[in-house]
Amino acid sequence: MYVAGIDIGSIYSKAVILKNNQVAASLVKRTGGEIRTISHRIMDEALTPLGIQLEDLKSIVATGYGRISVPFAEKQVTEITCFGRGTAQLFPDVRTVIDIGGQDSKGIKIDERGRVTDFVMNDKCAAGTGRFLEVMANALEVNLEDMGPLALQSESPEEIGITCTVFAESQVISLVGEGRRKVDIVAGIHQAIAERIYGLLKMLKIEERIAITGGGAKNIGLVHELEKRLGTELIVPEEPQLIGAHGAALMAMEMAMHRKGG
Amino acid sequence: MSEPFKTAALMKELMAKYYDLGEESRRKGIPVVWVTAVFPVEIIYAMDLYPYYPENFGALASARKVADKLSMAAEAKGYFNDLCGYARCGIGDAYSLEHPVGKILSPDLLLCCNTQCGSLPKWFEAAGRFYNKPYFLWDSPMIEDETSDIKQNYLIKQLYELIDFLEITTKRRFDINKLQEVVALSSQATALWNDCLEMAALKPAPFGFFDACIHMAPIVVWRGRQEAVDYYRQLKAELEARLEKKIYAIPNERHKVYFDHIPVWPRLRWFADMFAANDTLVAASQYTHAWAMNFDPARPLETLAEHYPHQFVNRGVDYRLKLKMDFMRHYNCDGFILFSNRSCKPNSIGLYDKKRMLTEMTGLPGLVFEGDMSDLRFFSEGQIKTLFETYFEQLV
Ligand code: SF4
Repeated sequence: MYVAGIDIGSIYSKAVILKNNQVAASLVKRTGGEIRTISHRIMDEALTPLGIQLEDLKSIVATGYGRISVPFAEKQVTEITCFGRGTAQLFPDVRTVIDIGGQDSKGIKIDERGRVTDFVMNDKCAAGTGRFLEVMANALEVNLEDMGPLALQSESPEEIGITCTVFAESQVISLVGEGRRKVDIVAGIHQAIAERIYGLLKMLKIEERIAITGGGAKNIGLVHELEKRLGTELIVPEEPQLIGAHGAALMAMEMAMHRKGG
Repeated sequence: MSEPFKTAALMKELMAKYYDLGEESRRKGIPVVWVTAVFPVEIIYAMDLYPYYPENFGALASARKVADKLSMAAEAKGYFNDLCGYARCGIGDAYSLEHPVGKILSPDLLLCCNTQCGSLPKWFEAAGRFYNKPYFLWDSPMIEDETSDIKQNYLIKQLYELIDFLEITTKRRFDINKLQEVVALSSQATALWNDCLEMAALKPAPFGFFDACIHMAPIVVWRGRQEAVDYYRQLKAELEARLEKKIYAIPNERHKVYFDHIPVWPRLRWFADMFAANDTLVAASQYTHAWAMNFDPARPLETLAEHYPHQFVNRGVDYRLKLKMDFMRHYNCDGFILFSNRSCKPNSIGLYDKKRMLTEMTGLPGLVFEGDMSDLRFFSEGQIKTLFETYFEQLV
């Protein structure tokens, strides 16, 4: 029996296809253009290698900020609930999940079954999110993927104030103008983001173990800075961006099983 | 939100009458007295003066979604957008050439009580200078837990000063017997209002917080007059009739939650629909209960001094936590929502800690969301929706 989870994020869209609880296929694609079209395209791409079609899926759950615009989803579930579910499946002893997505970062507390017991999310501001890193990478003319490794090379990071993405960007530009070293600026940016996310997490009762998910988890510099503040090693899933879609797929499986059972 | 009430027609009529009375007072030279929402307006009515509520003007502008426009007029004069939205609306309208919700009625006198916040005195002081009219502050000390005789005497003494101030500035006599009558009317209305709010404890309930937000206007502006008594008597009767006919506030009430604060006025319906779609009734709030007071007309001045400054906004953390828990218990809530309202700092402070403490003490899940009661520039729909939907998933 095949089911799917689809996660339409602000920057990336992801899909996970499960066959009897095993991941049969998965995909990450940039969100762009109309969500309806994107969601069809991403499903097609994920299903074609399996030789099946949308109709062959017993259930589909959509999550992410674009969840309500996925026309073929049977149910919409928020990404917080999905990230909780997905993480618990992969790492049953995790109690706190840090999710760093494109437009928001979240702290999620879960119990042993992956049920959300508490959560926080950043407010309207993009500071401390994936989008922020992207803006900074652009301002510095550095590839987004290179930001994390670059940050690790610095020995004296610059101080960057990060109350606001717009202000931080102009600060970064003037630091570049003053001829400061790029690695130090990049490291400063990572410290500032980590500080912001750490502040958010402190609103929760942080319990170990702690996992980090979402696109931000792929940034080694950020993971490192967060580990320093939290005083513990973070669990980084192999495919951190897929956890939400995976959680959604698990819920789809449950719904399909439930139906089958009566 | 419930389907429209028959009483709504009376509300429309009463509110129109209230505003007409303002214009008429101005024409006849009856002093227009600015008062704050939690102020012993009974004294104003007892002296046949016209009380005007600038906060109500702010709420109206907010509900009509023009708070940002008015605010920008205030911001252009140097008032920071971090100030209370009601103040920004009132100040903005004073400076503005356009008046999207009608012009704010200028004061002949300004009376303020600082039991609610520090923003109101500053706003009223600024307005006093702008309109060049006398200003009186009823200064309320913070009442952390229990009140003391010293505080009580201080409050009552100032009421005598207030009466002097009013007699001198308006050249009208104050009559304690008249005050007694007004307080008696106020007491009847607030008791009836409380009866209506109480109905939200039934399951399923015919009335909830979002209904209360609409039906609270008369208890704010007409309390102390027969109009308020008539209104809530009629509303209560209609609610009782609805109960018999099994007409409820939301179609499938499964959960009840407590909401801590002022609603997001420009999104009142949006919130109401979202809660209803998730089978959750917002049952109670300390905000709408702020006017459910229980006066003793036999001791008119004392009773006013006992009730107004004792509102939740002027109390300590422990008292406020207990109050929230009492509401949750009384209304049988399954959870609670705390609104970090950018406009209203005194009610938004320490909410994450409060949430943690409340959950520890009650075992109920809570949610803090950030936004603004007035100004949609500080409202992020996508994020707030995700927050609430996750919360509803938690409730199930
Ligand atoms: S909303 Fe808050 S800050 Fe504004 S007037 Fe009311 S109590 Fe004061």
